[in-house]
This record gives sequence, structure tokens and C-alpha cells, in this order.
Amino acid sequence: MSFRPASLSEALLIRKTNDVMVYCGGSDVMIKYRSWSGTPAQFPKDVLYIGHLKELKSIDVNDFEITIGATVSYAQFLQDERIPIEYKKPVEQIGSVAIRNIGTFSGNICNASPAGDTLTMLYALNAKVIVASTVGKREIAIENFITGPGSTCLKNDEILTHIIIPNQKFSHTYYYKVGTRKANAISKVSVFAVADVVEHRVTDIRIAVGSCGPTVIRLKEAEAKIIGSNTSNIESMIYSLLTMYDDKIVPIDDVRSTKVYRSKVALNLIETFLVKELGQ
Amino acid sequence: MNKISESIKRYDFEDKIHGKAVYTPDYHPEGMIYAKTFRSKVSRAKILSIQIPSLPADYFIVDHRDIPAKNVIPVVFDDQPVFAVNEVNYIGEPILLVAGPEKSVILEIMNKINVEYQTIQPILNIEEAESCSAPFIFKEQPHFVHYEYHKGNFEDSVKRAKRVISDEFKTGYQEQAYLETQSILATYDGDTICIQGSMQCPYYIVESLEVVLGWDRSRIRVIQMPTGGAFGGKEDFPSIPGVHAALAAIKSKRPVQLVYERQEDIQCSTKRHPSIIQIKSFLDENEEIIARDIEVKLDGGAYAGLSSVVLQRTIFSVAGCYNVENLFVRGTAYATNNVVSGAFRGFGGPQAFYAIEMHMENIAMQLRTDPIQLRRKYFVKQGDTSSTQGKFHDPIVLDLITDEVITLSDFKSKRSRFESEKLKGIGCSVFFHGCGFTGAGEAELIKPKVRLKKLKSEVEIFISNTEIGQGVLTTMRKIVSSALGIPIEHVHHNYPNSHDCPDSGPTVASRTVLIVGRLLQDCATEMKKRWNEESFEIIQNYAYPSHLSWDNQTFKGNAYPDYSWGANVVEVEINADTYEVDVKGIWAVYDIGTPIDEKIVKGQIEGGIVQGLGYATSEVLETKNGKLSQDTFTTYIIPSSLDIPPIFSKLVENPSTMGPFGARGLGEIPLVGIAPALASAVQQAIGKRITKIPITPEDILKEVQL
Repeated sequence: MSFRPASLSEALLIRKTNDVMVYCGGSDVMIKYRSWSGTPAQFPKDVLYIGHLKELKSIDVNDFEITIGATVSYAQFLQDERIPIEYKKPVEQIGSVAIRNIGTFSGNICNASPAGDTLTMLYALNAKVIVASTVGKREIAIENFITGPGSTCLKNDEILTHIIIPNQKFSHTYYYKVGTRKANAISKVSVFAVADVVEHRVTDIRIAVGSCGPTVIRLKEAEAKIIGSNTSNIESMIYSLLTMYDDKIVPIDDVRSTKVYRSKVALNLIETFLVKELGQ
Repeated sequence: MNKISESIKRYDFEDKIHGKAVYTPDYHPEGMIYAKTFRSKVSRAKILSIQIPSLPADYFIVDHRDIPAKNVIPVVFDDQPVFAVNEVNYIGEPILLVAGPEKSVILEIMNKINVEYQTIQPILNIEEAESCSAPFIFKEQPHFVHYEYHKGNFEDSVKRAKRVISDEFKTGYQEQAYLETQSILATYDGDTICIQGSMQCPYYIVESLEVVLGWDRSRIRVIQMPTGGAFGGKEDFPSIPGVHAALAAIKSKRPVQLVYERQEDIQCSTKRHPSIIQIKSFLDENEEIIARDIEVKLDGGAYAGLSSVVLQRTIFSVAGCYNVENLFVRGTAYATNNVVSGAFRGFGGPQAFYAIEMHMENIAMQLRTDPIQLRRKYFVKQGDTSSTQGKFHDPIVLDLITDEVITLSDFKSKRSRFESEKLKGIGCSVFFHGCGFTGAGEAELIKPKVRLKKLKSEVEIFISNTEIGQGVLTTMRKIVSSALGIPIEHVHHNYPNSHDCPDSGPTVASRTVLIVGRLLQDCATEMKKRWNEESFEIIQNYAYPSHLSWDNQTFKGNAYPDYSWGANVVEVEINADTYEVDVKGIWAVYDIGTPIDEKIVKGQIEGGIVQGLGYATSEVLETKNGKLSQDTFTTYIIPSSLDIPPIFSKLVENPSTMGPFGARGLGEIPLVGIAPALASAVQQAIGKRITKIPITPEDILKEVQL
């Protein structure tokens, strides 16, 4: 049985009383549970379809936050002129046009793949998610929400309704995705980083590394070490910084790439950001 | 420009662009049921038992017991069964079919089928095959075929040599990645079996049905449907789903649709042969190459298929465009418990030219000489003999082709500049493709025929060659209307149907324009002489050109009726952080004689180049315990439109004396030379040798970290 509720409150009620899988754009689950073409996908549970819910289909932007509803597609996000261009970079490179038309941030987050293309940005920007149930809402930091590859702390009666990105300007933003090709590809390694540099002094820095461990990796101790430094000193610190990252980057060998490659490239990209981008 | 070269609107465009073309899976005749193939899940085993659940009404199991005559798919050797009986030899080998009206019920039945296997130690690659002992997969030997040939006085030259330069190269699998998966519809009217489907060679399916059913050809009909790409993957393979669907239709007395899923298609259809190629060049005191010793090893997979013919083309191409007087060439196609290797655009050529061109680069490096100059010194010329001692009768314009590609790409200045610019490189390759069947195959094996029918002012073409995106429904009309001197609107040509099209041979081997096009031209010329007759038809038979000769025992003579030639330059830049290869440009110059339609030719060139680019870089396809690891389009990485670099192509004028209006074959050659040119460019960029393809960023990291 599948459910197509008329409202979020109806959806939450269904979620509470039934063991269902929440389906938004379907770009992950339709592949994961595909069956012989012409037969229905073999979903492990009943499906609660929320992709059509209008109340979750808006983006709110104010001076402090960008709030993205769960059913907002990547295409809608990319077309919104209020969104800073830097935040569109990872989204522009997701899948193909067709996937961007249907895929959502909420799906990417709940799928919780370490290769999820929006996740490095969300980690770096200290994004939060709002999850709702019939009894209330919880606001959870993205790094606490995702607990491992494919797992989150979303409870059986909850639905992720919104993603909140603090609306902050940075002097530097950097994104590089190494895919298996230039489009329509899953990432082998990706790095999203932001920094604020005021008169050559780093006042804020966040570096998030994707596809290099069970979840996206951010090293707050390394970031703390950089904050306060003069950009001209970073090069002298780079070896010890990269060693810190090297210890925490634990990629795997799989069908797309190798452990060795992922580690080395992640470190190269971090180095490029710290030395070349911040140095400029 | 020759008039015939001017592009016209393709005859298959309208239907395809508007989505009106009816492909096999779109066609649902009344009463049609579905079939699905139940396959081996192990790479090598004895089948001890098969448990089948009780079937609902209208559902059928089709297996070897439903075969009226012979359980064999005839290709070259009769070793491959239609359905496995007592043993399986690769993951994906068909054991039986389940057929019925509802797909979901078929899946339920499939899930309840239980096969008890007794596994046998599988042979998983060339190295294991070389050292394996009984039980063998094929007869009492580790290989399907082993060939050798000599030219000149190899032994004496080796003794004279002062220096030896040797190399070993490895190439991987490649998947054809046609858009439309293998698709067949079979209908049976109580007397005649009719197969409609996605295919290259209708008569291969006719011949398979004759053998398996034991029926007279008059009861067998094969029709090509609009086909979504093939690239060799629909040469021999469709005989398997073709025969399977036929058996299901005969048993159920209902039309049967058999359409593969993508993952199933990648796992069990034929692939390009992985290869290991060793080349030793012997040089005298003047650093002249006086002899070569070449050994080719191919992974043929579990059944012989076309491996023998692919191996022949590999060993006939592996001496390259060079006249080295003394040769010892040998090749072996090994039997392994992998998926069956088969036809793929280039048919052994891409492996051969990758190896010989990289070897020439290595010699140039060792001798500290210019790689282009080195190649030019040995270019074959008109009047020379080929590696198999066949005389090249026609002018060979390799110097001109090379001049053009060097100038277009600014090769010389870039090559020297990149010596000091890190991570930039440029490479070149020079290559040929033999057009038509190997040796005297056109005359002895195929014996192609074409038929033209005149009715008042209208003429219809009847040939068995298929439209697989290469433009046959347009180019053949152009040839016939030009030869007759009538407007092209009066010439008609449909997708082939074995009932009214004679066997003009398969749509393979860059032969359709050269061989079949020429037969049509000759046929039309005959027709023109009798133009005042109101209605009549002419059947034209192929005659082997008297100036050619071939001995299939000793491999002496003209290995191919004609040759197309080409040169490529590829420029790359390697990303310093990620080791990704950014291809800056590809330059390509060919002698394909007179182009029959310039736009179609350009399409073939650019498509072939992109497929060659994938082969050289991203299309990693590996087996693990006999199972392909990259079996979806998420993991098997063909280039996307964003991965396609700027391509600059040019044709040189050198009309063929054999083909229609001076045309030669073109379908395969654009793929053949890309990998070595790209690999040479990467070599220059990183200052390390590349000896395997595909070249991945992971490989480049390994090299630069050494």
C-alpha cells in the first residue's frame, strides 16, 4: 500500500500509525529498489509519498537563514536568485538535468551516503535540519543527524521537513568534486570549504570532505588551529595540518576508486584551498 | 567535392527524432507474453539438479528439452549451447526461460527456481588459462585457437640484431553500451517462426534457427526493427535471445517478447576482448628495425564465439602501418570462465594499434628520435607487402595523412613546448582498418548477394544490411540513385526482412559501403542498361577481385580486400590535484576514400572517437571471480557530453578503386587510434610510461608517486 497525503499533518499521522518509507523525489530509492521494467519497484515497506506537498515546497531567505523545504527540487534551488552563487556550485554538478529536476536536499540528507553531493556544503555551512512528528519538532545539526553510511537519527514517526542554512557571507568559498566523469557521476572525493579572512587573518574556516569516510568529515581541531593565523603562515603549518586530516580521512576501496587515491586527492584539495586559495 | 558526398537528410531521422519509430519493446501484438532468462549464478559448475515450482496456467518453462534439433548456437565452432544442460561455464549463462503473461508472476517463478551446483575450479583470466590443467573448458586445450605466421627471414634477422626493445601492454574489457538493450519479439503462426528485433545480422539468426529447430529456411523469417545502437554487440549475440524467444513462441503459441534489462545485458552479452600483447623489436647496428616478434593473448571467455576471427584481425593489424621485413607473429585466444568476448567496433584493431603505436613511441624514446620521423621511415607504401605478404595495390597516403594531422594540431611546437611544461602532453597515432571480411571471407564464407527491383519509375533495394545508426538507409539509396542517374525519391529501401532480402552478409567489418555498396552500384549499372523495360529485378553476386589472393592455412596474401587509413593527435593536461586527464583537443585525419555523405561520415568519426576515448580512460570493466564489477551505467563510465573535447577531423582525397564511387569502410577506424594517441600524451605529461588501458586518475597517481 502507498500513501499520498493531502497535507504535512496527514503525512505525519500516517508516519505515526504505519511503518512506511518516506519518498520525496525518488531518485535514490527508485534505483535502489528497481525491478524488471514494467513491474513496480520492490520497496521493502509501504511508501509515503511527500514529493507533492506544497507546504514544503518553498525556500525562505532572510538575513540570517536560508530555509529549504523538504520537497524543494535542486532545480528550484538553482533557479532561486536569492541563493548565493557559491552555494549553487555543488548542486549544479549533481547528476543530470533529469535528476536535478526531481532530486531534493532532504532526500540527499536522509539517504546519508558519504558521497551525497549536498552534504559537504551543508556540513561546512553548519546547516541544521528540522524533523517533525505529530508531537512536535526537533532541530538537529547536520553532523548529528547523519550517524553513518545510510543511517540517520530520524525516528520512525518523523519526517525531515526543512533544511536551514545560516545565511552568512564568506570571503572565500571553494568546491571541487572529483566524479567518475564530468557529469552524471557519483563523487570519488569532494571538498567544500569556506573561510573568512580579514586583513590577512583567518577569522573563520570550515573544511568538509566527502566520500572519504563513513560520513562527511570535518575536523574542528584543525579548523581551530587555523583560525587566528595569518594567511602567509598557513604554508608553514600545512604539513602538520595535512597530517591531522590524513589521520581522520579513512576512505575505502570500491568500484569507483581506491583508498589511496581518495586520501591523496582529498589532501591535495585541502592544500590547494589553504595555500593557493587563501593565500590569494 | 564529389556530388555524392553532399549531405542529404537521413531517411531514418524523421521517425527517430519525432519518437515515431517503433522499436522492438514498443511493439505489443495481441496475445503477447513476456519471457525472462534464468541464468547461472556461478562461473563454473556441474548442474546436479534444477527444482522448478509448479506453474500457474499460461506460464511456461523453456529449456534444452524444447529444442527440436541441436542444442547449439552456431558461430565458428559449435561449442556454445542454447541452454546449459549439465554444466555452466560463466556467470550469466542461460539455463532456461520463464514465459507468461504477467512479469510479476514470472519474477515469482524465477525466485522459486533452485539450481544445485557442484562447483569446479574456474579459470578466471589469461594468466590462469596459460597455466591451467584439465579439466579444460574447450576440448583438451586451454585455448580456442592459436595462430602463427612468419614474414621474411625472422631467425637470421634476430641473429643479426644488436639491440632488442621489448614491451608488454594490457588492455581491458569494453562494453558496447548501445542505448537499446538486446530486444527480440518472436511470433509463430503454426508454420513459420518470425523474429523481429534489434540486430546487425538477420541471417546469423536465420542460420541459428535452422540449426536449432532443424527447419527449412522457408519456415524462418527474420526482420530487423529500428535498432538503438549495436557497435558489434548485436553481431553474433542476438542469435541467443533470438533462438530463445523462438523456442518460447513455438511452445506457448503466443508472441513472445524477450527484452534484456541493462544490468543483465552488461553482465551476459559479449564484450571487447581483454588482451596482453608482447612486442620485441630487433634493431641492427644502424638502429634500423630489422625484425619483430609479437605475441597476442586474448581472453575469449567461456565459449569460442567470434574469438578466432577477432584474434586474426588482431594479429594481422598488430604489425601496424610499418614495413618491417621480418616478422614472427603469434596469437592465442584463451578459454576462461568469464562472459563470452565478441565483436566490438574495431574487432581486435584497438588492442593491436594500442600496442604497436605505444611500442613505436617507446622505440623513439629509447633511440631519442622524433616519434613521427621514426614512424614515417617505416610507413608502408603502394607496392609493398603487408605483414601477411599481400601486395598493397593502391596508393597509400600515410605521409599526407600525417602531414595534415601534424599541421592541424600544431603537434611539433606543442610537443617540444610540453617537454618543459609540467602536466601537459600531446601524442599521436597512425593506424589502418582492413575493410571487409578477413582474407577471402567475402568470397568463401559470405558470398554476398544484392537485389534491385524496378517497377515503372521506382526502384527498391533489397539487402540484408541493417540500419544501426550508421546511415545505411540513406547511403545505399544515394549509391543506387547516383548509379542509375535518377532522383533519390524514386529509390526505396526498408529495414531488412529475410523473406525478400538476399543474404548480402552481416553489417560488420566496415564492409557495408565497400562491398555491399559496390555490389549495388554494379547492380544499378546493369539495371540502367535495361531501363526501358517496365519491371524486372536483378540479383548481383560478389566476385573475388582477381588481383587479390589469400591462403587461410598459412595466412599468406591479402588479409583484407581494402584498407582505410588514419592518424590521430590527442592533447591533454593532467590536473595537479586530482590526476584527472583533461583532453584539450583531438585531431583526426583519415583516408576513407570518397565519403558517401559528409555529415554521416562526421557522425561516425565523432562517435567513434568518443567511444575510443572511453576505452582509453573511463570505461573500466573488470571481472572479480568471473563477475563483472561495473554492470550499470552508474559504475560503467561512458563519456558524457561534457567529457567530449573539441574534435577536429579532416578527410584526405584518395578514392578507392574497389568501393562504390571511390568509398572505403569507415565505421570502425575512428575508434582504433584514440587510445595510443591519448596514452602517449599522458606519457609526455607525467614523464612515465603507460602500458595499460584504460588509464584512470588512480593509475596516474600511482605513476607520479613512484
